[in-house]
Amino acid sequence: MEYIWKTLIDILIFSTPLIVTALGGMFSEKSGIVNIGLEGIMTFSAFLTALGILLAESAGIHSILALAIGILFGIIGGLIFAALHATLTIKFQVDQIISGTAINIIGLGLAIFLTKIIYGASSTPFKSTFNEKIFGIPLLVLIVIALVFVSKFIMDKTKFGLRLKACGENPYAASSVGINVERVRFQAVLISGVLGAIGGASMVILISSNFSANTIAGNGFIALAVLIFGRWNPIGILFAGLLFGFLRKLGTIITVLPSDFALPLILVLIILIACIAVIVIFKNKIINVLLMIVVYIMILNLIYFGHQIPSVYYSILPYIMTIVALVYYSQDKVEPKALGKPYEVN
Amino acid sequence: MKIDKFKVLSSAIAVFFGFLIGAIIIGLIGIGNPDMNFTTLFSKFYEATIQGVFTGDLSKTGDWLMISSIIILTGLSVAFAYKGNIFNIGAEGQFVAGAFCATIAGITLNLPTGIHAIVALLIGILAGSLYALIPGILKAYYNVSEVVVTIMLNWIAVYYTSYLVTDFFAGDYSDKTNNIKESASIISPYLSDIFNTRIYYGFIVAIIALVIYYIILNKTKYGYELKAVGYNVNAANYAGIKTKRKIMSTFMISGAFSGAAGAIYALGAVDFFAASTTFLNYGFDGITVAFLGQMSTFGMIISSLLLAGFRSTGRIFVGNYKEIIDVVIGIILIFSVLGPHVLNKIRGGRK
Repeated sequence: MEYIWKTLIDILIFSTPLIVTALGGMFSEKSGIVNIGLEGIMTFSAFLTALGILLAESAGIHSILALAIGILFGIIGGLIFAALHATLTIKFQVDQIISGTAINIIGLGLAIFLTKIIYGASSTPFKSTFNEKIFGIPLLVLIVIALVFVSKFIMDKTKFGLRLKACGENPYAASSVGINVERVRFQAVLISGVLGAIGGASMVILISSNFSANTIAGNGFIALAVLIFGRWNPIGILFAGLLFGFLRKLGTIITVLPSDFALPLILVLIILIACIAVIVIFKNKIINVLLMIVVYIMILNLIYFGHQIPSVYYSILPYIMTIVALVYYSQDKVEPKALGKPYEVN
Repeated sequence: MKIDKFKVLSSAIAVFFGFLIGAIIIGLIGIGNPDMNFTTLFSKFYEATIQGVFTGDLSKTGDWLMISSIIILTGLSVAFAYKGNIFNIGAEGQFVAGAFCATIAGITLNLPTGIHAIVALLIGILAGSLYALIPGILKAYYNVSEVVVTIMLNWIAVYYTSYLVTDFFAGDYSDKTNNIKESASIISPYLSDIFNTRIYYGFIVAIIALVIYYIILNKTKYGYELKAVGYNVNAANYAGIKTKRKIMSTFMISGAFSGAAGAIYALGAVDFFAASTTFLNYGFDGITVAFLGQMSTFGMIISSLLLAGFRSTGRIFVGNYKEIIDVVIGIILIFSVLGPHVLNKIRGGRK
């Protein structure tokens, strides 16, 4: 029983960075701005978080305060890059994909460059501060889960959330009823920077304990996958995050590769095809979430009771599922209608 | 050839800012370090590119030209798709697919020298092309945005080829294949001797690709229709253009360029394929090459030389701080797309 509890917490921990970063992506994309720069934001924030914690520790702070300082550092980094992305895409209407790509390149490059300059090595030292835990669950994980519900509330119940969604659906209509589209979008991108930064920070605090080039290594893009698979919806993101975090963990810990992988692969494929079939037939959000849980439990069964699958399939499954989800959603028009389109006022 | 001064100006500004900000960062951080000051970036750039012409040691110059022959191909890949209003971020994944398949062809096939190399190259091109067809089909038939799909396919390519290498094609080392057969190599022994470094016929592939790019886009009905589809799918459809087929073929040609880049990298720059969970960045550099070169044939020759210059600079950079080059390239990318917008506003204001 204790083993299962520990495994569950492990899965939660691995999902946390993905969930919070995907939430960030949701705010940005719901307002109409694609933010593929989340990877770069996560990376740079992870570096700043490690730096902040280490600075606090060298100043003699070893309590939870050191972690808070680290997160604060990370958020500042996230805000800088988010402000850059917002300025480029909203003020200058630069292509959102290019701006995001540039942020990814700069974020990773700058973070490693500064690590080498400050620490003389390609990774920072490890932090020594322990995570505060409640019933064995790190506090940060609980905060992120709370953030999911806060985001849900903001999106559905507040004036800001409703305006934000209006900007992503039809900015010109939103503008005609007196919403300052540029302002709302700017705020949304900044929020995505803060949440993406918490994602990067949680990677350092919960998982790696230091910063190196391998700390983020694609998690920003998995977060993008979580966002899409979660249908741009906080609760969907929570479940998709748990699923993909789990797959990600499996991909990194399982190194024993058995010789025959055909059978488990076929099983996974059957499960996936069955899911897609049901999703297509029922076209229902609750069904969608339930299905993710089913896939999740079935894969879990496979792991613990059945055959071992080469770890690569866990690594690529989130990407494949995202592509499949996109194909399905293309019939359904789930994504914000004005996503990626610049808002031009003449 | 018609040269748009406006575009040249905005690209020149981009390169200027890339140099400037890079130099300032290095200068500020290097205070107290004699190896790093405000002019380091310039002197290293010079050393990594054309200095060899004057000193006689051409090895660095050769390396520089070879890198540029690879990234011009990924640049053409991005640019060709962009002409059809398709954003091919998947150049990186198509590069990996091309490199992997060319390597495997180079290892497993038994063919005479020369023919083997050409076959391996064509297999690499085909691999890149088919890999690009996936987002092509999804966009043509399901109207799925190619951006996210190609990002996901990049990672799938990297993870899956690594898995195939370690599990099925590992050679003497567990994380990379054996070297390709001598007969599949595209290295030119004669030129390598002159330059004192690995020189391969990738530059010929790059030149052929440039000619193809120029002719398709400027001289053929295909290129005209491609641009029409890029401009307005519905209008093109109405005008009788088979848009679905056009979108898919655009992806395939774009992927072929990236596949060729991967193939010449595998058959020339290295002789093997190594498992990796990160990108080599040749595909992403293609994005910068395309936008800095403003998608023009001549512009992209210049931009690929500049970008390759920065990459070579990174290789010889003091203290192994080569990551600063990523920052410089990112800045150049931002300014090369920002420039036209800002200049347009200035120009628009005058009118």
